[in-house]
Parts: sequence; structure tokens; C-alpha cells
Amino acid sequence: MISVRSLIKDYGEIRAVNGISFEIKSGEVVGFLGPNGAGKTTTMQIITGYLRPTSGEVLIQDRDISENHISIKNSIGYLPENTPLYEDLNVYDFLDFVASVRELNGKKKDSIKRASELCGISDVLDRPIGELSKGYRQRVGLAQAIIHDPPILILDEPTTGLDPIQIMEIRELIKRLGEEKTVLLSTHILPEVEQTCNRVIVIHKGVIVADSDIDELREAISGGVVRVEYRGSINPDEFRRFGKVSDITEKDGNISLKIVPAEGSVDIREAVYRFCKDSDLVLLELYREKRSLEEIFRELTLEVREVEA
Amino acid sequence: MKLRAILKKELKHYFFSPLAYIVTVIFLLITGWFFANSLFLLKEAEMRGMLDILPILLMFVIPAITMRSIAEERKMDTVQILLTLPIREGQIILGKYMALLVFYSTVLIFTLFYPLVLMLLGRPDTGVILSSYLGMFLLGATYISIGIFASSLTSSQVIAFITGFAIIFLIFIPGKLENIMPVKMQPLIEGASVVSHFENLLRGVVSSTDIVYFVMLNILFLTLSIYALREKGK
Repeated sequence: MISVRSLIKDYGEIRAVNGISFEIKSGEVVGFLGPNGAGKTTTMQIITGYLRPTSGEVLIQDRDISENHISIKNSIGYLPENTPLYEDLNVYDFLDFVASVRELNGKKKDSIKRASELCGISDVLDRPIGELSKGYRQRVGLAQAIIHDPPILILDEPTTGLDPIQIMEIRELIKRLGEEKTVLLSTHILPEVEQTCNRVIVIHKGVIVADSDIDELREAISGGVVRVEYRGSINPDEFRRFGKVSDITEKDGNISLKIVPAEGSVDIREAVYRFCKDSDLVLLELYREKRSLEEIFRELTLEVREVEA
Repeated sequence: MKLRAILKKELKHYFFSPLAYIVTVIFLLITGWFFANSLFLLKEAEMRGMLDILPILLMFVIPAITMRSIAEERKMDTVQILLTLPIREGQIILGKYMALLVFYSTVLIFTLFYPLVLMLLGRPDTGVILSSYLGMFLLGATYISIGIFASSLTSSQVIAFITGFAIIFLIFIPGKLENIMPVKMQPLIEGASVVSHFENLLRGVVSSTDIVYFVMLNILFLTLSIYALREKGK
């Protein structure tokens, strides 16, 4: 559906995007994650045809965007960062403008009706955009992006600057849209990706540092860290057979510790259980540590920083 | 269809914007004053008093109206919406240009009051009035294309205004310097200046040279605007 190959974009001396490649298949909802200034917006602006890349290519439905802009643009709906809108037009006139340029002609009224119902803006159609709240503006931006019912949606930070309730509403809306469309959405808020996407691409300083299913990513980076709490007469050092032992605490004779397996993400829970059973220990707790994407994200972007240093 | 959509959107901007009204009122006040001046003080049934100051007056008025046309789209980032829609840069520029022509023509319609007064008071030369209006339209259109070009270079309306003013000044000033230039160079300067072509039309002389001059300038600056818009410059 979308295929990005060795994309590079320079702004003068600064390289904003440094050789990014990824594929997005039909029906995927992909979160484009990274700190501010990572190159998310630039990449999206290239995909939508707003910017030209310094080098590399982007294929939308197997067509190179550098060859035929106009027809490709019809298959993409784009919500730019900060939702730029024509403040002095009212909502209907704005949607009417977009629909006219997209040559929906006869279907124009129906398209505006459908998009505004889906985005919940039917009751503000006659209000000037400049007077709308941020939540409504965002909905108008989304309505504009889906008015021609495109197979691909590119949403740049769709929830930034909204209050918690508005954020939930917009996420719900994106989820609903994601059921039938291919969505690429960028954000620097992690829970957003966890809630709305089924795949995440982490980008940092213009390079992709991770690209996988959310569960896989969590799994891969959690590295199978296991927490154990037991009561018994055995020295915590005995657990070194499973990997690196740390965080040893003792309270009322209960010993708790953390094991980082020597071989990455190997599941050592069963082995730990058998060991405790054989050594006649009272096993009070045994679980694999689940880390939030937040930590994973910090770790991923940190690694890059360390490598650079 | 696409062109019409741009035209419609732009017209909404201009006819709902207070700036456009303020500028129009100022324009009518100043032209009215110069018109009345020549009418009552010099007792001439002519529009010359007002027409003579027009190239200078429009030098301020038109960049004030055109400065927003693209600079504002850049400033508000709506240019991202515009340029990702299935529309060519040329259609965007042409739509904006046509909207400004419609707006400017509307202002010109208000000035029809002056020749009407003349017709009531005396017997003005209708041919001269008609060619003068052709001149006013072509002069305005040329300034508008320059204003759009200036606006396409920047995201700041102030810079767009000053740039527009400066370019217009450059094609205006040679006509005023004509007399201090060497005789050999005078025809060249006359050919380059917007004033001499405008004055031909004010005298009632409609020649293809003058019309081609204005049309070429329009095409030149609109083409440059298309390139400037395409190059985004972000």
C-alpha cells in the first residue's frame, strides 16, 4: 500500500530523514513514534507529496509519487500537524471547497454529510472555523481528510493539544476509521500507539530504531526479565544459574530478586519454578516483567544517543 | 471546477475581510478627492486628476490586498492542505489571480461614479473614458500579478507587501526618470516603464504594443509565482 525506500531529506546542512525504509500493508494501522524533531512530520509530508525527498522513493499503491501527483493524491487523506484550517470560512464552506477540488461533484453533498456525521460535526457546519474549540477543529481536520473516502489516511499528531476526553473521542474515531482504511499516524504519546495501532515504527533522529508489532516489540525488549519472591534458606546467588541477579531485598524472611536471563528473551519461568520446587523453597511470586512502551521507547532512543556518543 | 473552487474560496476571503474594505474605502476617498480637485478647481470635465495619481496610489493599495494571498497560506500552514489536494500549482495561482481581478473590478465599478458625474456636467470623450478604464484594469492586473508573486516568496505579509511595493516601484520609476536620461536611452526606458504604457491608454490610444506589454508582465509574474509556490521554500 505504502512503500518507502531509503528516504533521505536534507534541510540545508541538516539531515532530517536519514535513509528510512518501510512497507505498510493494506489495512494496517501503524503508529509512527518518535520524540519531537525525529523526522516524523518530514516523512509524512514526503509521503503526501507536499515535500520532495532529497533522495529515495515512495510508492503509493505501487505508483511512484514523483511521477503522477494528482491521481495518487486522491487515494490519500491527510491531516497535517496542528490541523491548519481556513479560519475565516465556516465548516460547510471549507468542506465544500475540499470536496470541489477533489471533484466529488454530484456526490459532494452526500460526502460532506457522511464525513461530518462520522466525525460528529454535523451541528457546527454553519459556524466559522476560527470560533471552534480545538476538539472540533480536529474533527473538521479529520472530516476534510476522509471526505473523498480514501483508502489511506496520514494523520500527523491527531491528538496533540486536546483535553483527555477529546483525546479519547479522537482515538475512538481513528480506531473506527482504521477498521476499513490503512492508517499511518504519528505521535510522541505512547499510550496512543498502544491503544490505536497494531504496529509501531519508532523513529529517532531520522533513523528507524524499531519496527514491529506492538506486542512483539514489548516482548523483544522486555528481554524476559523475571521477578521472583520466595521464602527459604537458599542464598539468592544460587539464582545466578539463570542469569544476572539484581535488586535483592529481604523483608520478614521473604527474599525478592530480579533475574535478567543471559540469553535475551528466553522464558525462564518454568526452570525457576522447578528449581524452587527441587530446592524446597516456598515460591511466593514469579512473573515476567511487563514494561510499558514508555520505558521501551526511552530505551530505544537512549541507545541511539549512546551509540552516537 | 477546481479553478472555480479556488476562486470561490478566495472571494469569500476577500469579501469577508475587513482589510479589503478599509483599503477600498481609502482608495475611493483618495481618488474621489483628486477627481473633485480637478473638477472644481480646474473646471475640467476630465478624470485626469484622479488617473494621474493612480499608478502611485495602486502601488500601495494593491500590495496591501495581495500580500495575504499566499503568505497567509504559508503562515497558517494551510498551504499543506492546498498542495496535497489533487490540484496543480498553476490552477491555485490562477484561481487566486482571478479572485483578485474580480475584487479589483468591483472596486473599479464604484469609481464609475466619476465619469457619471462628468456626463451630467459636461460632454466628456467617451472613447477616452473607455480606454482609461481598460488602462486602469490592465495596470491593476499587472500590479496584482506582481503582488501575488511577492506573496508567494514568503510567509510574512509585511515582507510580501514591501517586496510587492519594491517591484512595482522598479517598473514605475523609469518613466519618471526619462527626462534626465541620455536621449538615446529614452525610447528604451519608455518601453520598460509601466507609466508610459498606461498614459498611452489614458490619451485614448489603444495600441497592441501597450496591451501586449501589460499581458506579458502578467504572464511573467504569474509564472514566477507558480515556480515559487512549487518550490515551497520550507
